[in-house]
Amino acid sequence: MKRIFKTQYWFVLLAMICLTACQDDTTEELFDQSPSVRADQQTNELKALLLSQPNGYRAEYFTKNDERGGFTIYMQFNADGTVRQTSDFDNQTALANSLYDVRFGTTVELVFSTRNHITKAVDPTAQIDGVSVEIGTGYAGTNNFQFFGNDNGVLSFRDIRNSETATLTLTPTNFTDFDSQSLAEVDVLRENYDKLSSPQSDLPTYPVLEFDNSQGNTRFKFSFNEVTRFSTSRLVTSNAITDLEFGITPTLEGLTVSPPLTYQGEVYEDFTYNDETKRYVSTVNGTTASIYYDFAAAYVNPNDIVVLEQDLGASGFLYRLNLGKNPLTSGTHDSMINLVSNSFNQGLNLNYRVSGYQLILDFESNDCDTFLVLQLYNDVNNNGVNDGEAIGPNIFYCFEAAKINDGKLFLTYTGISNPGLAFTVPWVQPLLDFVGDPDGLIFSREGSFSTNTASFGNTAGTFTSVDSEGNGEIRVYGLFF
Amino acid sequence: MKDNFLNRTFVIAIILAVFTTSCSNVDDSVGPSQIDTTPPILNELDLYLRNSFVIPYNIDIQYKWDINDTSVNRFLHPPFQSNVKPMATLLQDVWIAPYTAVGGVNFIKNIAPREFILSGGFNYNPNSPTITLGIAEAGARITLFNLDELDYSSIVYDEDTNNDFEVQLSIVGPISTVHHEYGHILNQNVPFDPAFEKITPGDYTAQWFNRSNEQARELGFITAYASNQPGEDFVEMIAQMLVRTRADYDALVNSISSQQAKDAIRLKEQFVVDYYQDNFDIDFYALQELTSQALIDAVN
Repeated sequence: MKRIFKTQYWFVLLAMICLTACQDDTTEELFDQSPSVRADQQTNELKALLLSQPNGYRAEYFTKNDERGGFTIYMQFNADGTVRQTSDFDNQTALANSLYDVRFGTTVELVFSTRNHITKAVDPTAQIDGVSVEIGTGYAGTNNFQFFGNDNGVLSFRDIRNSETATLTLTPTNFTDFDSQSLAEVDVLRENYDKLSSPQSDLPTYPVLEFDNSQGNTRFKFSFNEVTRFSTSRLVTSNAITDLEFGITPTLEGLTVSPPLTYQGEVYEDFTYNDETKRYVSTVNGTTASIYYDFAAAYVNPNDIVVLEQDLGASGFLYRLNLGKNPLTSGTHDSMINLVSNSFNQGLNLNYRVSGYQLILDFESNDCDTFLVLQLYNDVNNNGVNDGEAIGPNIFYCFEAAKINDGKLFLTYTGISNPGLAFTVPWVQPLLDFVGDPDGLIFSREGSFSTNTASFGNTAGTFTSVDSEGNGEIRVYGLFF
Repeated sequence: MKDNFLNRTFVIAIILAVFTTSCSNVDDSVGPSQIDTTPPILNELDLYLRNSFVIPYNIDIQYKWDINDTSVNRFLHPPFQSNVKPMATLLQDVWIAPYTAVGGVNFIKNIAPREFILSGGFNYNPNSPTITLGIAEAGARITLFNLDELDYSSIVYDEDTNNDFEVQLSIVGPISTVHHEYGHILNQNVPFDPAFEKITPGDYTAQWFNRSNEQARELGFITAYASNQPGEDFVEMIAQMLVRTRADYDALVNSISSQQAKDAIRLKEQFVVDYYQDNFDIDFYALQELTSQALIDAVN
């Protein structure tokens, strides 16, 4: 019994120590208001900031900069819970009103609660000129943005889903008239984007990303998907492949890339368009990064031409007009095809026009196993467009066995397969001259096939005439099947 | 023993003394609420929805985006504000009004989802060639998708087209979804007869989307999705009957080649009719006449 008493005594002593041990601590109040009051204050602070700009904000939104590019949305927030918007997502730029809300979720959030321009970023069926971005995912954006900070009036937000790759930045427009000035700026942005996505020349051009620094000049092949606004630029040397991946958004001055481009210790983010040189240029510490279309390829990949000797498909290389346009096909090529078409059209006194051609290569046989198939269609509507009309005849033109010398393809024309159609040879001569260029053709692989209206998994590539005469090169983009 | 009792009393007294004095300086007054109780801004559409759905039926039509209402892993967007009222009107005309007419004024008030969530775009299912048309959650909420894609002047049935998307782009799409999901809610209140599951037990499959509707009908299912599982089969029967006139529905069943499949569907139809009659005192064919006519009226 005595033992029990002693045990209880020790328990009491311990309890008293525990209960009184901290009684002299000085408590410091970290917040002088309750959590709910502080949450309300933060919410009201963001609401006030949004309404503080009567002529709204210019928002730069990169939805997922490891797969997609960015967009600019102009937003004018109103006290009645509405927001007025226009954007450079597509050519539907009309101003529209919708609802927004500022809520306290995980943190203070800006929610675009009904549909408007910015929700194009989260449209799973988003497409540009009939080409889907990615069915089910679209631009992978969001309707909810977490408020992250206010840096001298520039508001930054993040996306919960793409927390590391998405950014939304709102900068005051300082407009005097939101409607007219926002629409005018959207027009400028779309013009700047068009300059990036299509060459400003009829001659064959090659997209180049070029770095100039103390170590010299390095040219990457600038590969840009104008639907996703994302670039994978590549440099291939004999012993290495270097890829630079980044999203792009047009700006009033040129373009911005995200994530910023880092090359040999320098970081390039904002590019300014030089109308004289037709280049987007970013200058950092005396070094430059430039994006532009050049008349010479960024580099000739030594591995590309070898691919032609492999089996890329039994039917060879195909160029077909109704598969859509790709800027890698030069205007000089289109002009040549028009010339051939017109010759057939007038020469036969029928409505036949060129719908495309195939080029089949054989590196061993001289028995017309290397040949060009000219495909015609009956242009019944006589509008110069192959709009589902009847197929015309195919005509075969023979070549000697294909040869590769010094990284170029050489083809020598031997005659028409069907002598009865020899009268067509003068009409198709410009195309035969291009394919049989005595200076050779440069071949480049261009990933999978993609045009403004179609995308296929087939290997794509271009043939370009060397043009030692300087009369204007010809380049054609097509697929192997 | 007595000493022990005294000691224990002494200890308890000390503990009580410590506890009862330790909080003596706490201010026990209750202040005003710290939660923001400011009424939300209600626009004209909000007032219409409040007066037409919340007040009479306690149903909230939620069209303003809340990330918590749908899966965060899907790429979804809110609807255009202008597309909300047409859908709300449609719900009133082709769902609430017919059920009220045959089931009584309290039918929808007693058994209904308490919330409709409206989403603007298609809900694509990841890694599957399908989209989700609607979701019913615990009898409390129905979510409808692709509101912005609808053509309110069009009625297209799957037997009229080779492209099922055309059905979803007409008002048959969302309204069959509402009848389908409401069927689930009725089943959650009163389960259907388990004997229904025995009619075509061998042909249910999780890969229902590999069947066309025509193939499914030849197996005794009214749609391909009905062949997913018995619960979906039952509510697909409800939905497909309620979006068609009885004549159109009969024509659809009569177009099936297999007599066995026809018989199976007719038997399922009888289960549905009995379910409504026995549990809710509703003449299902009278309900069908009202819902199908309302749908036709909606596009005219």
